[in-house]
Amino acid sequence: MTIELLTSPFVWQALQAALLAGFLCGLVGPLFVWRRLALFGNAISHASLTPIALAQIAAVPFAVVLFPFSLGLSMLLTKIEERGFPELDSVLSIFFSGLMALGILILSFSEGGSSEAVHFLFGDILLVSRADLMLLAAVAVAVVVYAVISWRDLVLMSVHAELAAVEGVPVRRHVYLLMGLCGLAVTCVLLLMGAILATSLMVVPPMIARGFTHTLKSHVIASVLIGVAMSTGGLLLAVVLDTASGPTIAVVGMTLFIASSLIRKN
Amino acid sequence: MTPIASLHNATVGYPDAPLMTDFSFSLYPGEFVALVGPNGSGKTTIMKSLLGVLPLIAGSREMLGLTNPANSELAGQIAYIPQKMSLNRSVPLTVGEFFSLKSRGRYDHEDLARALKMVELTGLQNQSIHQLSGGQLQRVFMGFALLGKPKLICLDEATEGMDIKAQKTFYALLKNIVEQNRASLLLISHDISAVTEHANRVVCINRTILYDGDPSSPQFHSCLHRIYGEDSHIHDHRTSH
Repeated sequence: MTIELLTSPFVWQALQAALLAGFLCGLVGPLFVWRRLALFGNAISHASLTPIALAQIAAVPFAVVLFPFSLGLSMLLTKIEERGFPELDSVLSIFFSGLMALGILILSFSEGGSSEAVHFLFGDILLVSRADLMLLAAVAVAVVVYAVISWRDLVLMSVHAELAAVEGVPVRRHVYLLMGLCGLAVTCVLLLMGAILATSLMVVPPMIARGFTHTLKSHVIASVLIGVAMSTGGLLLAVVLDTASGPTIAVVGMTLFIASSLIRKN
Repeated sequence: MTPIASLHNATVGYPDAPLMTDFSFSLYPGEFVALVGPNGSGKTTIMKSLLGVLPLIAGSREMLGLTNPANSELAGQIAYIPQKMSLNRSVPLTVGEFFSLKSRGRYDHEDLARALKMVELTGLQNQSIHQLSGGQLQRVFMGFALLGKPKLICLDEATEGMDIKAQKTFYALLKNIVEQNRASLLLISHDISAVTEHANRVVCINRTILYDGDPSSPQFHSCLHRIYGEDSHIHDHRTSH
């Protein structure tokens, strides 16, 4: 029965999505951790409940409302950060909880609102469509192209923003581009893993890799490998154990993080 | 003589909180200039404005003969050595990888080896920069700057936290660089005795220029007394050991 399940077309499609999501998050994740964007990722993913609810009410595909919304919110939050707002984490939390609550309220007006809310919060990678997969692949290609072209600039501005500015790196342009792409990446992942769990795939792989690597190159390679292992391993485990895929991937990630911390300590 | 870098009638600071207005300042080739003043006096703001990191609210900036240039036009010719504490420790990085970030990887292994030799860190290219001592890290920043053969090097409290021996090595290297490259140095420091010993011009500021001239002059000392209080005195490294 399990073998049949594992070889079924929908699991195969979900595996491809998990592989792509793990690769994308493993690649972007180090920049997320270096630039301390975990809360930013959480704000984008949790706030997405509002555009998802609006799309549901308007009966249009989620992506039509979700991607412009995430891009707009990324730009707005970047603008707020640029203005040097001292309580940025609090501002992020306001957006984080306020827009999530608004989404839940909007969903309550639609038929089957609460069950839909649960679905969006926790996601299900096994329900991924061909269109979702193509969208994820497109964002992954955009991120890889941008990262390859701008890698040195992105690293230098993560190491020291002012030093990068003196060296002629267009820091402001990169910050907006990077935040926009991170917003898109988080949005893609939340369609698969749900709003609550999306950032775990962004943050866990580079955090585990950081404990075992001291070079830039090894950190990124290890993060990509761990990202792929976490997403595909978590998915397969969910299929075998018949558990929800998003939460299983997130729990696998947390377990790997705790285990790696203990190994490092010993 | 044509200045290497200048601010003309500049208003510096942030648009909603300008720190200094109608401020003018020039730096000439081969000079070793120290900016001194109390916390909040505007030293870092002036340096950031000169480096083009902080846009001017009004006035103009000249750098290497160009008016209000973008830093991409000057890449490699101006250099910045920040405080070691301002480095983001979340990024794992070896010395070699850090050097490869200079000018988008324009420099090869020979350039890297030459820069490391100049700052007396040969063989450390595979070392994590987070495992270096404060003095070594500042020399890594210096080596990074030297890859581009800079005409102007700006140092923001770069010797903060270094012991006396590391400071002596650091300043000796700086002086060599100035002499070999005819580079100019702009240094922010709270270490008045080191400034007096190494700089050949000192600018004492407190939201305006209070003194600009020879660091051994009695006027500089009275300026220091004015801003730090009559009880302050300068401990001279040259005579103390």
